Amino acid sequence: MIFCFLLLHFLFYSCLLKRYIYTERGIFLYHVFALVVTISYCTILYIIQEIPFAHGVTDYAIILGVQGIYSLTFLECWSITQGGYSLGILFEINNATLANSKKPLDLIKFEEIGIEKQTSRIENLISLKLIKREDSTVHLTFIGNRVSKFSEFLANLAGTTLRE
Amino acid sequence: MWMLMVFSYLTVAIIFNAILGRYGVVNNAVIRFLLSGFLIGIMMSFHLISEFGLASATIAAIIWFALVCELYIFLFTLSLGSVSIKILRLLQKAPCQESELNLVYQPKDMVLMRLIRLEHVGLITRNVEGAILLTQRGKSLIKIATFLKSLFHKSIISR
Repeated sequence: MIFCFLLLHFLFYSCLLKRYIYTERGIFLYHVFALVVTISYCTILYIIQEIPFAHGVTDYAIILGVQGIYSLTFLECWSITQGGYSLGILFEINNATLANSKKPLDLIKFEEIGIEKQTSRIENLISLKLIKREDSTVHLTFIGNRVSKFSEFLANLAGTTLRE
Repeated sequence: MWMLMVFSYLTVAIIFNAILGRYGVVNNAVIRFLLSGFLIGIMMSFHLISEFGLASATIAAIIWFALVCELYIFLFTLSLGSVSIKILRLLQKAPCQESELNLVYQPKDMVLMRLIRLEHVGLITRNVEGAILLTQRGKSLIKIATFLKSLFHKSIISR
């Protein structure tokens, strides 16, 4: 049942909604909506069938686990194909190869994307309250400091250090 | 009970991955974690089957183990590759002027860094004239990415 629902959820997006929902927020809300539908459906089903909570909890966990894997995979694939910088460079190299171009790779185009990304990232970090701007100096906020330390911890735990 | 086992085995997988990383067993952090997660996941499955049999608790635990492993991969790849995280790490050392921040990650350097990384992971190569070319692996990745773009986005834009 859950697999059919998720297949429909994906096909509905892929065939129709991708033309209308193309922001991170929109995609996120589309998945939150699916989660609410699943939880509501299961709860109603359990109430109708009078299944005790203790018996139903494992089934609930299976359904939510499958949905979690689906949503996470969907969001990762969407985000990688939406604006991956490295992927963009690979596409450009591929296009140059297909066009049999003798010209050197147009790096300026990527530098422009880089400037765009950098500026929007600083603004995003400010709006997320991870950094703050005072006069022309940029500081970490308390939350930003915690996020930074946690990311350092994760990078060390992964057995490697940040790619500087 | 099974949820406790999921997080215990996840901890083991993370520690095992860190040990493999320290000894440089596999260079790619994602592949290394997939390897350690897979091995520890199999051990967990045997443990669960011996404990609960082929019950729904066993299936739930395996699914949740896969979910938390995927979440962990997502988080650590974000920590390793994200420019936003790099900005935070830089500011952790000391506050700086916005103009300095822009200088640290010069767009040209960012492109060059990406090219070095793409070459390091075997997606691109340079011919004798120094021109950048896609390797077979890079071409396969482009095919997969093109297919995914057609599924997830309204038009295929070659950026």
